Formats: sequence, C-alpha cells, structure tokens
Amino acid sequence: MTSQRIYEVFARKTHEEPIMHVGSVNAPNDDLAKVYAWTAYDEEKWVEMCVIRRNEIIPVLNPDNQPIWGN
Amino acid sequence: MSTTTFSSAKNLPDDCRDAVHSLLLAIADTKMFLGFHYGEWTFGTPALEACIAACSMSQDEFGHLRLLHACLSTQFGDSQDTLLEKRPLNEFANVAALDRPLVKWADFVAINLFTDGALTVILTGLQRSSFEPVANFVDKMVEEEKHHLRNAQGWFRTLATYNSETKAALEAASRGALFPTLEWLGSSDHAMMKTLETYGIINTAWESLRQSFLDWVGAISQEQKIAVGLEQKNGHWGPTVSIDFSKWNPSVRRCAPAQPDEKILYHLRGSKNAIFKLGEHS
Repeated sequence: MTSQRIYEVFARKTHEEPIMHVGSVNAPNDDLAKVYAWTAYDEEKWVEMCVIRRNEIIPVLNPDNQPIWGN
Repeated sequence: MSTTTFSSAKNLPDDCRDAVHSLLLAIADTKMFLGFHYGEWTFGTPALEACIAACSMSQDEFGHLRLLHACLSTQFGDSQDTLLEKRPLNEFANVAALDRPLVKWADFVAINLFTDGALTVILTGLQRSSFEPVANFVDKMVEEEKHHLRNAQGWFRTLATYNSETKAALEAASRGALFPTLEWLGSSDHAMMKTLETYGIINTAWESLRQSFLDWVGAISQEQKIAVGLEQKNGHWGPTVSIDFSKWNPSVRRCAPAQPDEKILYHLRGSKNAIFKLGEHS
C-alpha cells in the first residue's frame, strides 16, 4: 500500500469566480482523496472541485521552505 | 419492452404493481441497513477522513430512504408502521450480509463495494423507468452513489495491497458480502424480474444488470488478486459456486428464512426514545 499523502483541495462555487484553495486531506490514493475532499468540504454547493498531491506542486516563491498551506 | 409510462401505482397492471412494490421495499430496506452500518462506522475508522466519508455515506443512504419511503407511502399506501415500526423481523428484504454488525473495517469495505455496488447497478436500471415516480428521483441517487463506489474501490485496492493480513481479511469479508448480495439479486429467470422488464420498469434485462455487476466486481477483484469466489468464462464473470434459487422468496429476496439482528432494528426504530416520538397532526 502506498503511505498516506497530503492532497490540496481546490474548488469554486460558480463558474465566474476563480478556483480557490479550500483545504487539504490525507489519503493513501487518488480515489480516496477525491472522496475525502468531496465529503470533508461539502459545506458549499461547489460547481468544480479538484485535488492535487502536495508533493507535486512546484513552489515558485517559498524562500523559507515552509508548507504552503499548513498542516 | 413496453414504452407505456405509468404516472402512479394505480395505473400499473396488478402483477407489475406487486413486483415494483417488492423491489422498492427491498431497495429501501437495504439502504436503511447500509445507512445504519455506515453510520456506526463514524467511529473506529482507520483514518479521520474515512470517518467523515462513512458518516456522509450514511446521510446519503438515509436521504435516499426518505425518498423511497415517501414513494412507498404515497403510491402503495405503506405507513411507518408497515415499513419499520411494527414490521416483523422476518419480513425485511435487505441483503442478508447486513443482518449483523460489520465488525472489521474489511467488512465495511466489502459491503461498500459489493452490496452498495449491486444496489447502484439496480438503481441505474431504474433510470428512465416507465414508473414515473421512481424515474423522478433515481438520477439523484445514482449521482450520489458514485462517491460511495469511489470510496469502496479506493479502500478495496488499499487493503488488497497493504499486507497479507489486510488482504486475507478483505478476501474473507468479500466472500461474506458477495454471495448474500447475489442471493438478493435473485435469478434473472424469476417471473418478478421478467415482469419488471416487460413493463419497462427497468431499462434493460435484469440479467444484463446482474452481469454488469459481476463483470465490474470480477475485474476489480482480479486486478487486485483477491479471490472472492468469481471466475471468468467466455469473457464474463460468474460465481464459482452456483446458488440454488429453488426456495427463493421474492418478498424478502432470500433463499432461506432469516432475519436481521433485533438490536439493529431497536436502534433504527428509535425504540430507546419512543416516549419522545411526536404523533402526526391530523
């Protein structure tokens, strides 16, 4: 089994607004990351939601090498 | 297959009305027990996110149950007494694998994949149903069920590949979930299933729905090298051991008399809080 990964969750409520970061989830694979994002961040009627593995994000400006979004 | 549509149960032919009533009741019962078990697994999951997902799936199932009970009530004259409160235990038509508590996480995962999966395949068969009251709400259910199946597949793959202990637990749990689910699906040759097909209550042959379920879970099990009791012949998956449907009871969808644990019904009925139940206004 792959170990737990951190996935960042992005979503938007209307097609007119930009997609925004809404939180993160821990999951062992992409399938579960999608379910966990959908169930953990269900407080809004999102029109779009996606997850991305945190370790695949390429920082452009992060001089202190701190986690970009916490946890 | 008929192209006639039925706006209410009153318009259904007599034999068809009984078949639709039995099927909806069996789906409602199975969803009720799924909702209970998913809800129980709000606690004790291997990960915090998994408990949120389990709780969310429980809410989905009880939401679907409300729709089904409303349909059974308005279309077929059922009441909360006949559906739940005063119904004898041996008349519940849920998948038998849900009769008892799901003790291990592997049991939860197997039920999530095999039982919830089979139920969802049947719901897809009810899309565009000739029985309009069902056609009106089933799309919403199918949409929500996609998340349940994604959760099931994600955990099935995880347990299958983590270590030999989780794999063995998953294999045992899968066999424990699959065969009662196949029993609940019944024989495609049964008169009830033929009636559902003939009047266009389902959008394809029952056998086609059953086979698509078997092909789906067969492929997933093979991919993860989990022996669940299925084998592939002529390109299609089927059980290695055939089920004897000669004594199958269509009203409870079981081959032998059995019933759910009374303690589960005690919770589902809210018996502990019976004194707080509010009567209906006239």
